[in-house]
Amino acid sequence: MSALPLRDIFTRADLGDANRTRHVQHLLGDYGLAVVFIGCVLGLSITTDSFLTMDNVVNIVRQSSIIGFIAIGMTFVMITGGIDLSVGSVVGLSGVVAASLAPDNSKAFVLPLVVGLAVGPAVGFVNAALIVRAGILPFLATLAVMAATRGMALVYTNGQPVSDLSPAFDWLGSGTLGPVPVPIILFVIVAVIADHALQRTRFGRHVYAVGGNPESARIVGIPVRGILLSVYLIAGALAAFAGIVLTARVDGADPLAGTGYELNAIAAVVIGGTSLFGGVGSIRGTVLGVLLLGVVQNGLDLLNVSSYYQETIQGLILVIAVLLNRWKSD
Amino acid sequence: MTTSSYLSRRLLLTTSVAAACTALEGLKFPAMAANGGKPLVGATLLSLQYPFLVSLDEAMKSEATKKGIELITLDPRQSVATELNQVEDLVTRKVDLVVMIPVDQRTSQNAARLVNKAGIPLVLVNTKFTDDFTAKGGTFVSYVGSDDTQAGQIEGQYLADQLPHGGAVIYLVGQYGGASTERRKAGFDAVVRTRPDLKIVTELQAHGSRAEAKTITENLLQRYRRGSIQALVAQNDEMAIGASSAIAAAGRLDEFKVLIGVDGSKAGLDAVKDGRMTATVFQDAIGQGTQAVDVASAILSKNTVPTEIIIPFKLVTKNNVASF
Repeated sequence: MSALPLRDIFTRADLGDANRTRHVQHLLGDYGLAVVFIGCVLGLSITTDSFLTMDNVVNIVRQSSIIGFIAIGMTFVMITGGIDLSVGSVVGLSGVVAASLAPDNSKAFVLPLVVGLAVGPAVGFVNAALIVRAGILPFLATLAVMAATRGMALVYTNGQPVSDLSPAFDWLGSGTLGPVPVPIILFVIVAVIADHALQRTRFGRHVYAVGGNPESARIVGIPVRGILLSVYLIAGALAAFAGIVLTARVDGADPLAGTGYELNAIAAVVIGGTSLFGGVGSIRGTVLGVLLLGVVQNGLDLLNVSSYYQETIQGLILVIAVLLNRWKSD
Repeated sequence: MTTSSYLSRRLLLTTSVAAACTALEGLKFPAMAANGGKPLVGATLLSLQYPFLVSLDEAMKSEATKKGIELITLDPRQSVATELNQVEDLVTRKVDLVVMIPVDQRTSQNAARLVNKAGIPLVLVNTKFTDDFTAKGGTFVSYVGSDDTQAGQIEGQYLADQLPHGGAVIYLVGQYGGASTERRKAGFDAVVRTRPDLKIVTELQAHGSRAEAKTITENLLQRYRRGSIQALVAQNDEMAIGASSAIAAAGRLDEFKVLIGVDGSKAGLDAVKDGRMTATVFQDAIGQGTQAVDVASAILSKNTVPTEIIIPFKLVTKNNVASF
């Protein structure tokens, strides 16, 4: 017979259960995304004979790189607690601007790249000005800029797609370096630099600090406005870069290209564990989120799943990821 | 989060994926065995948001079952980038033939060139590429579709017949620059030009959308008072239906001697039946889908096929709507 009163035994048992539950939750929260990713890869490798081939893996990463660039920029913004809805429109505008400067019969490369890229920070600057100077909520400021930027892309092209671009420019999206497609190399470079900037530099620590608590960040002397300006410039620049690579990949630009990409990017960033409230997140998580969405999209295509179901399944994955992230240990 | 937890997570991920890859390498089946020996055909179909293309998709699937073909149909959702991704996936999957309804007659050529490069036969349906595709060395075995110019001509002729003494016409177009928009407009203009008493008082883009056409028409009805308009011609049924519902809501359906669309979708035919539209131009989705698969099947059994199979448009009015 135990000497403990019955009440105590119950309390202890409850505590033990609660601890165990929390432990399991933390395990799921910390490794869940990786487990889901591996599960998808395993499942698709078994159910389709074409998933786990070199060509297909290359396809997935190359196709994911476009959303990947945007999502990396979005990660910076979201860690500060902001959001940038204008990135999809930036893809459209930078694409048509670059395309118009890279006609088929030319050797144009630097000019379309530089001017197309400049579109991004320009739009990012407007976002930051509206948010920091005018004090408009990021959601509303970038929603307005999203509409205005899309309009500019339509005005610039009079609504018509631009096609047939210079081969030199197309190399950015369709070329290879050795056996590796250029977009994949660019994606890896951008991801490594962004990860380094966020994890290993003072700038990165400031980005987290601003998102964690802007008021205390300001009090300890962090240039909050400067940090906010830089993250929107980065998001704009990477979105413009995505637009350029996309344009080079399809050998043409459509003023409506990139419509809805902001939502895909946000989904990838959230799946990767970045909090919508700021202060938490990582480039590695985002890259995994982007690849997970890419794998799922590719897998559903290979499995011949109707596109109506595909969107439902992608929505489910987002919900599962958000629930898993809630259980993260810190 | 700490660095060590990052490292361990990443390590776990890399090792597991690597292990999975090596383990599964041995499990793969050769393509034919997995398909049970059936030929595999992959199709990208512009956008399955349109009823017309949904019918075409269904017709392709049922014909494929009959012909013993395994068919994968994909929906690029009107994005050239998605279309390119999907064609890449099909090529990687080593399909025996690719069917494309191109998203854009110029920019989609990139995806078609991938198919060419892989040596896979290509069949185009519904929309052709611009002529520079073949000029630049691109090839396709066969085109199955309708000639949109003819749809425009039929609309124009119907308008001319219904308004022998002329009249004022609203013309709703899809999207300028789009192949079907430009061809339907060219066909329509060619007929209307011969009749100076037919006046196109307004020509607007409603992007093929029922909702957009409804809004535009509501606004136009404010501008054009009762008795000043005799006809509304739309480039597809969805726009005609949207326009018709705006006109009906204003109680002015009786003013319109002509209210015509193109496609002969189920909704369009219903609207002709109950008088919300006076006519539609039937584009044979089932004919196009069935023919596309028949041609694919013939190519796969090494038979020669015509380079172009044109399926004609037909005028549908209240008199003959029952037979569609």
